Amino acid sequence: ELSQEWRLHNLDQLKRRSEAWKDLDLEKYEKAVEMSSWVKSGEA
Amino acid sequence: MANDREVLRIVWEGQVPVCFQADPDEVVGLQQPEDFYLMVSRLSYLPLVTDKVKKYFTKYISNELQDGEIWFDSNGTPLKSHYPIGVLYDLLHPEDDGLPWSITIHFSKFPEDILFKFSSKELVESHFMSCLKEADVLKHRGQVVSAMQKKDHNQLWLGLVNDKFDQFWAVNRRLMEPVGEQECFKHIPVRFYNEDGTYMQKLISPINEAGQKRTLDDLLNDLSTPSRQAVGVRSHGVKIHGDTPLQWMSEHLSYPDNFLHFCMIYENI
Repeated sequence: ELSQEWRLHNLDQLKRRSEAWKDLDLEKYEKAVEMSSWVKSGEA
Repeated sequence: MANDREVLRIVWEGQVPVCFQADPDEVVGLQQPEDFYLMVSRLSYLPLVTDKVKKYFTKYISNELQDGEIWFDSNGTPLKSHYPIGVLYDLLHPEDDGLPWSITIHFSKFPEDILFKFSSKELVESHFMSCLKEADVLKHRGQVVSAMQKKDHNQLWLGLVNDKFDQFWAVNRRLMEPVGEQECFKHIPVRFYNEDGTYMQKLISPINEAGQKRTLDDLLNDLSTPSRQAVGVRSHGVKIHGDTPLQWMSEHLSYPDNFLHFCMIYENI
């Protein structure tokens, strides 16, 4: 399955999505979700 | 089962750069606020990622509007807060153009005839869990989700909210396995979106009568009519290969609510 053409095509397309950002100044974008250590899982 | 971690990971990491703007009619004072730029997950929902946006623009809005029900529009189209962000973007950008995505935030004049009030995280959570349960009914007659504990449901939700891939998939993998000796789900949870943002659902089997796995092209044939041919689907910002098996798609390309969300591409005959 890993070498099937449909899988490689889909994976390649997914990887290429960020190419549309190449002209953007990404430094000015804030992250919506902070990944800092104080974010707790909330598990009981 | 959903064991192609490379695909799961890249789907999870899908993002959209967004430029949020104020509604000029709601701004107090002569100077318009600067735009607010945010990178948001395609898999999330607007109410889960817009705390910073609301806080930023609140400073520029009159006091009486600050407690209003906020909503968003893109180029005049009100955005449904209970649709995943990636679905909203793909519906409005079939060619993946127009980045960053310009969205206007509103603090008044909520369009009640068009949008449901899903602005709180609790309401979105309730909707999300409802979708997840519906998907499990289609896949496993609801047997998996009903066997889970409340803490498992919380882990799924918090994994999505906090962008924690491992936390989410530690539970979600159980929803992505066929039960018993089966190789496939009973049905594939999928929503087919039209250009106007409405969607339909159908009972979709992952296998044909001979027991062979059905592909996306098989599904497109089923959805075609004498006057209109379904020629493809877009999901997660890409056009999916027609030979992709439906079972694999459900396991790897479903949104966290366990549904495939397909923006349909039709050609008139």
